[in-house]
Amino acid sequence: MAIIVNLDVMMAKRKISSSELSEKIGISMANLSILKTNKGKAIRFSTLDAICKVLNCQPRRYFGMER
Amino acid sequence: MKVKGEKSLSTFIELCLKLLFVIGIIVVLGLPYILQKYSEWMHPQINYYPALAILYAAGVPALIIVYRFIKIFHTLGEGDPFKIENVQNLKIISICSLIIMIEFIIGIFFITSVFAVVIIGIFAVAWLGAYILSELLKEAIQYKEENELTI
Repeated sequence: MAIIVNLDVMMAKRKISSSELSEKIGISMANLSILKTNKGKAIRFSTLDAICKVLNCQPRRYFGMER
Repeated sequence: MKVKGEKSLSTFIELCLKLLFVIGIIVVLGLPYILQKYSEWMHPQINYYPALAILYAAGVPALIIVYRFIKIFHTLGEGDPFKIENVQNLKIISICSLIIMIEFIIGIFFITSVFAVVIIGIFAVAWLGAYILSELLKEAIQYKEENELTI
């Protein structure tokens, strides 16, 4: 799959740690780690919504396409 | 009643299967003696050496089946039966059932008994049933993984 998740870039910009983010969006550290390391297979809209609200930016900022 | 996890039905069945496995080993090891006594007392229509060969060739796969069932029930006892090893276990059970079925189809010429026919029927069902269950379990594991990796 060519889709990559750039969540860590956005997290660095907002200077937020993994534990803080996971707490704020209400998912476990293990699941956040799966998401960050591109091991996940899908993302729920509710999770995406929570991430966007916490990091305060558009969903397109989190995803990239590998060529 | 608890079906899986500690102190549940599956741990009880695992224990029963372990006991059965030990009894099975004893029976397979003592087969020449048992068969000899059986033919002396009952005078059945059997051919001693071919019958012995077939019973041995069926006994070993039967032990493998019991052993694999112990493994499956062990994972059930641990609480997570959706493992890829269980697909392999069920596949081996189906292959062993097929082997036993074929052996008894050949063996019916040497062991003239209605039980041979019953065994053929049972293991034909076990062969297909275990194969279908293994495929089902594989699909279920895929769904489970997909679900777990949706965040």
